[in-house]
Amino acid sequence: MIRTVTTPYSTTTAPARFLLLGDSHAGPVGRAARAAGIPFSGGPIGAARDFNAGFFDLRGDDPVFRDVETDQLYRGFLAELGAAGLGELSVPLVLTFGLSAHFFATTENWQLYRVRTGAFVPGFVSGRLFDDIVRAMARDAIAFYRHARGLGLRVLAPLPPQRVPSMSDPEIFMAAQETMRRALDALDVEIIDLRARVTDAAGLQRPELCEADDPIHGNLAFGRLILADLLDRGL
Amino acid sequence: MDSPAGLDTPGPWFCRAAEVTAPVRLFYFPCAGGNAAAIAGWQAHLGTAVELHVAALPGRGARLFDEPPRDLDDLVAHLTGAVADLADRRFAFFGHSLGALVAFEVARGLRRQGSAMPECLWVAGAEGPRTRAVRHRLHDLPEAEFIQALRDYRGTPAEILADREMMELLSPGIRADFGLSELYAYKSEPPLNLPIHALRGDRDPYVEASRVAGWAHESTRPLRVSVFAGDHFFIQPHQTDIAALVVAEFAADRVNPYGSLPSRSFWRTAVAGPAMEEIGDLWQPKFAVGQDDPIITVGSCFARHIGRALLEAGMNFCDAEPPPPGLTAAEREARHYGEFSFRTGNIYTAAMLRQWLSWAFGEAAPAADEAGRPGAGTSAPAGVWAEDGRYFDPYRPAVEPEGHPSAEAVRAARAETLAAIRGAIARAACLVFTLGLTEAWHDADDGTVYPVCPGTVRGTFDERRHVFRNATFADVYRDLSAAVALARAASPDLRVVLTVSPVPLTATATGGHALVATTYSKSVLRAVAGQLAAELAYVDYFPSYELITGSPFRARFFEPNLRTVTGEGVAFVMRHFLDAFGPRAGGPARAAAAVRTDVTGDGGDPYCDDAVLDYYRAR
Repeated sequence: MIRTVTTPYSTTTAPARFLLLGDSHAGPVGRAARAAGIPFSGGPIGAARDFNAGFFDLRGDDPVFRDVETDQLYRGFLAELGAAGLGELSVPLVLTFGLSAHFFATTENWQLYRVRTGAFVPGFVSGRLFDDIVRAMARDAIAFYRHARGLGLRVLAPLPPQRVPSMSDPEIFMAAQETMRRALDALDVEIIDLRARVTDAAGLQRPELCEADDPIHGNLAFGRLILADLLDRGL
Repeated sequence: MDSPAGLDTPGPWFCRAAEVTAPVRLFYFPCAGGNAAAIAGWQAHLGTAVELHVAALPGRGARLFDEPPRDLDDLVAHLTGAVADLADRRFAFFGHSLGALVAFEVARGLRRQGSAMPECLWVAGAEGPRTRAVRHRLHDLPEAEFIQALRDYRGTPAEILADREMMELLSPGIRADFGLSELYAYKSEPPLNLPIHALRGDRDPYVEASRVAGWAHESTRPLRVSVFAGDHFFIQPHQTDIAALVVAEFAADRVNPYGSLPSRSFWRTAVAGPAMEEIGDLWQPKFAVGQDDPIITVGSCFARHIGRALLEAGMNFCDAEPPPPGLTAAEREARHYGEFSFRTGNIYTAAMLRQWLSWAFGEAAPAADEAGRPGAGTSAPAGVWAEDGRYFDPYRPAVEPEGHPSAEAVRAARAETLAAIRGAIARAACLVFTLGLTEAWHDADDGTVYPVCPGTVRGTFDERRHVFRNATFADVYRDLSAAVALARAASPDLRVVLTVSPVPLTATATGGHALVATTYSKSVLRAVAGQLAAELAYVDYFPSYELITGSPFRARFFEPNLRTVTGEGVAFVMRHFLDAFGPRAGGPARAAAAVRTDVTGDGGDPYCDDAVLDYYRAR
């Protein structure tokens, strides 16, 4: 978990348009909003590994993050918005939990399902077993979305930058992302899917939308595109 | 710019080996640790045709006891100024190894400050600035290893390397030079509009031919490469031949300047030869804008496509007046949100742009409203049109289709836009203004100018009060100059890209033929844009007009009404704009080179942790 944090960001001169919570992929969105002067509250509250399974409990209707500092950040953001708990939130919720497909796609995790040629069993990544495995890996992320929707919140989820680091399997990355997209779509979460606009002919993130010196993240320009999409959706 | 101690030494930054006076100058930039003495013999080979000026850097030669340069930007700034002072005649640059990098950066520095440019850049024993490899890091090696590395380089006499006292004097300067080279970080800018001639030794262990070819990215002209027998210091045994090449290059230019022009300068190779889609290289921007530098767009209807295209390309379109939450897409479009950087609606004329900026920065007298009341503030006009109980802004009647509930609401909305203009100009790096028309309707009472004729979109036409004017070159030049000056007063580093809308006039109020009136309007706007671009280093012209209306394109990019530009046409223009000005300008290597694809075996989470920390650190 993150140990060095400062005062959470908030533009207080105008009402916040949304609450942003997530892993590091939330960073470019928050930075873009900050640079554009779009009022919001929130930001990344941990790394990708922190928000898949076993990361929160419910106290009544309100999620409580198991990591103390994460929970403090979350409470601080809610307080900026005048909400005592998630159920009192009056602005849309933008989440990136469970959408770091590179984390699910770590090549080593899937060796078990490969045959002698190195390929997967035919139909594996499009099959029920794969879907179940990914959903199990992200079970509490999905539960968080389900809970937020159950509270009546408008929830939006940007798909991650289409970057597959060398330790991850591209086929698994794409398939796991698709599994998560379907899972969230079934919960009526609005998916911010910019893939057609941000990728090259190979389906991977265009270089000018990648964070430099970093194999995973989108850059500020990618954040601006997500932000523009959020505003286009009326946020 | 801060200077390291010693760089401000009042001594000359260039010295001359002999008192030769010639019509042209060659500025020589030595290799790491090099000084004027190393090429003292060159002047004899150059004869009286070329004056040789050798960069006299601190920490070596006559400036041995000056603090050596530690920051390339500082060094380049000093050398750029020194060259500009000596640029009263034709000149070229010659750089060897590190000197090639320095010469290249000084050339870019001259371009940035709008100074005279060298006619040619000679680079010897040097890989391209963005393709170069740093194979060994020498500058911070322990002394014994450093001296051994110099011995391997074979550029320093063995007896000097063996002289401990001598090396104590020389070593800091040589180390500093290697540091400049080894820590060099390429910054993307448009290619230079000058020929680059690369020279290399065929047995140079420090220079790969494929990386030398990378110099091609830095020039709009074809790269010329000459190979000589020898190692990294091949220029010494070949100085006669190299001097002859330099003299010949200067002479060639003098005999026939067309001979060194790029293929884009000739109609046959630039226009008649290539397929329509392949016609390119129409624009060599004067300046570069960083990917995250805010860009403002304003102008006529054609310009409304630019902002979104910039955003999609990864640039930073500055939307200083975003829509309020809750509007549907149709509502946002109807109310003209997101078309330009602020909600002025279309700004067709230079006079309108000047008017909005004047109001925003409080430099114009306020207009009176229809009841004759003066404007409420010192900068915002008070005139409001009332219609069926709703109120409209005469200076942007279309942006609120249903009107405002009160005159005060109109003024409040306008004040919001003026604040957005002030905020956007203050933080923008670049303003892109698309000129649309010369024809405009003016208010005879208060001198203001309307975007459209009163009585068309809204308002009531008053024959006495509403006066038609078709601006002349002088009018547009005056208004556009004043608008640029207003913006630059608020943001002194602002760059301006002017362009002319290819969309013809819907109608002309001159009584003449629409085609003739269109040609008049566009030619005046094009001429003024060109004039300002020629006069001002911070103003450039982008040829969107030529890309759509030029005869090579055979009106292909117009709808059947021969007026509306098709989506394909817009995309064609934006492709040219972004190829030259976007994040990939200068070739795909710039963006791709910065992207790492490796990752540690721990799931990449250190990158995620860093990214999260960076988010909070960046405030």
